Amino acid sequence: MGLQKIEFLNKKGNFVRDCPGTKNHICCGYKNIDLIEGCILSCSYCILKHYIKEEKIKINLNVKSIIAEVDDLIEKEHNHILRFGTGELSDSLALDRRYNLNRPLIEYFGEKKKAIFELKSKWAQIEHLKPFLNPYTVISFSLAPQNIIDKEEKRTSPLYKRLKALKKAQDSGCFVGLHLDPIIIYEGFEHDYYWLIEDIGRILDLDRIIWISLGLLRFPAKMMDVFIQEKRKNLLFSEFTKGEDGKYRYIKGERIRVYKTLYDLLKNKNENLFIYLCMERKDVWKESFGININKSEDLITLFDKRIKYLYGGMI
Amino acid sequence: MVSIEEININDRSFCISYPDYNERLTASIKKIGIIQPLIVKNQSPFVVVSGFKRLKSAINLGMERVPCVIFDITDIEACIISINENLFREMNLVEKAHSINMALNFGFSMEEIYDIMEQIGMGRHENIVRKMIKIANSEEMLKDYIVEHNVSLKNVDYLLWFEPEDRERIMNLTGKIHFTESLLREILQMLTLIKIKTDDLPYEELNALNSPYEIKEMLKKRINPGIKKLEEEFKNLVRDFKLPNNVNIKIDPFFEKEYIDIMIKAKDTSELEGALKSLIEPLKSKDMEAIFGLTKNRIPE
Repeated sequence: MGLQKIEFLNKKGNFVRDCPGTKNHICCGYKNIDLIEGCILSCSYCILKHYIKEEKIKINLNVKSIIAEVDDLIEKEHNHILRFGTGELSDSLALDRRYNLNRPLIEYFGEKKKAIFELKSKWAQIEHLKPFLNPYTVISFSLAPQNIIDKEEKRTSPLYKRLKALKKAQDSGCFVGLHLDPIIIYEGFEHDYYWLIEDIGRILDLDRIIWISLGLLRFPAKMMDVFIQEKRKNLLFSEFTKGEDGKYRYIKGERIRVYKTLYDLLKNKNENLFIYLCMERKDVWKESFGININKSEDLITLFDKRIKYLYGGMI
Repeated sequence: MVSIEEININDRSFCISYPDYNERLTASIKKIGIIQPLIVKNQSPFVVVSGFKRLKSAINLGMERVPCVIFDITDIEACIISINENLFREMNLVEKAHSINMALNFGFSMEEIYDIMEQIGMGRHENIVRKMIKIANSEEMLKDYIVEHNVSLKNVDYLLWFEPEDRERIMNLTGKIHFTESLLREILQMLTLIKIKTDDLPYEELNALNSPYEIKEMLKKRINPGIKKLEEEFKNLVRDFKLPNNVNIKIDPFFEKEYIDIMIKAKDTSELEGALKSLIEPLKSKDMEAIFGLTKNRIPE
């Protein structure tokens, strides 16, 4: 794959989208800011490749309009603490040092003090942001065993660098988020995840992890052909079924087993960790975590409580 | 008329036709001769540009001379004539692949290749060009299989994924049974998955099966052992309820949805009452609970 071209846009609006969610699945009510569309990293399972047809990476330069749109949403919201992120259609940090894209947003959220801004990444470079970080920005990394990073997450930072960057962010006064997503079931994955969680417990301050998401691999049906063509043994190792959204997922029983195992391992490290499932059914929530989440609103309320618990009167 | 001896019958540089022999054409030539002359390139010996099937029929019929139009043309012009001569008939996938491969070999630009693809009803995409080249250069057995079973590009793509040895065995297996395109696709996809997961294919078991549906079910069992087990459990549980014909319990085939559907067909109150009564015993039994457990993928002990 050659170097991707970068295109700078000066769009006028529609920068913020609700996470699209999935019918009959619990959604956390996240707001995506489309600051960048496209990614220079090369994860084999990436569904961006499916959604974004263009090879070009588009960067929206109209930060003033983005902030105006975000501000409007925050002001209109009276029931919940909104959470925004730039890591949906791209990696939040992969191009950040070169183009300094997130800094105005970090500063805006720091001054606003009414919502959370999350930078979600697999690219462990936050040095350039450290002087501007504030508690309203959450630095998050997708974490996976090094085995998977080596084989399926080309061009991304190794695990130890991601954990080190998270630690730096914590030391700079930020809360951090962990995304164990996608979790891939391959031969020996339990062992690798056990040690991943050991590393998390050893390196990070668990009281300063704002949230941990768990999400097993899922992908649009068309990606199955891509995985087959590329002979992705790790990705195709376990048994899949099709969800109501037409996406392939591991069969429900397997999902429950894996979520429960990881939940227990994490909770054994620290009972207070806030762990949630990304785009799962209510019965999977109940069976895996023993929690009744009947609709997306229930999960959004849990997020509100979590943020209030950590920020107290500061938000 | 040109003597066949003056034609280089082994030079197939401009040959698109596949297969290059047609019994009906031979019968027709035997009866009324070659009506439309071959096109040959003026060099010594002559090179056929168009008319490979006619030439082969003539040779098989023992003819010594064939009618030809002799053109003083370059290779590229010969290539254009060959493709255009074939555009007026329905080409099979192998012939389309030959056209594109030939144009590439004679140095056509990508834009020109895309134009040809459009004319033969293919999408303008680099990926498709790559696949067509693979087909054009593939083994005879695959080409015969594609033509005989009118296989789609998607399914050929799956076949090309396999090493030639596996491909041959798969073609032997699927060639003897009639598959619809979609069923063949499902089966090929499952075979690729099994190969990726186990690095092996269950030929012995497959060869013992005679219908496409048996093959599909057998492969499904390998690919989706969990779902198959749930299906079997569900069938067993519902069968034990001994419900009347107008009551039907349905579960999501992917065992994802949290609920089951109970369908009752009734044309009057007594039928409805009978149907509802038939559900009372199952409701009291642990088996109904077990069915709800299956929606969570719980297999009863």
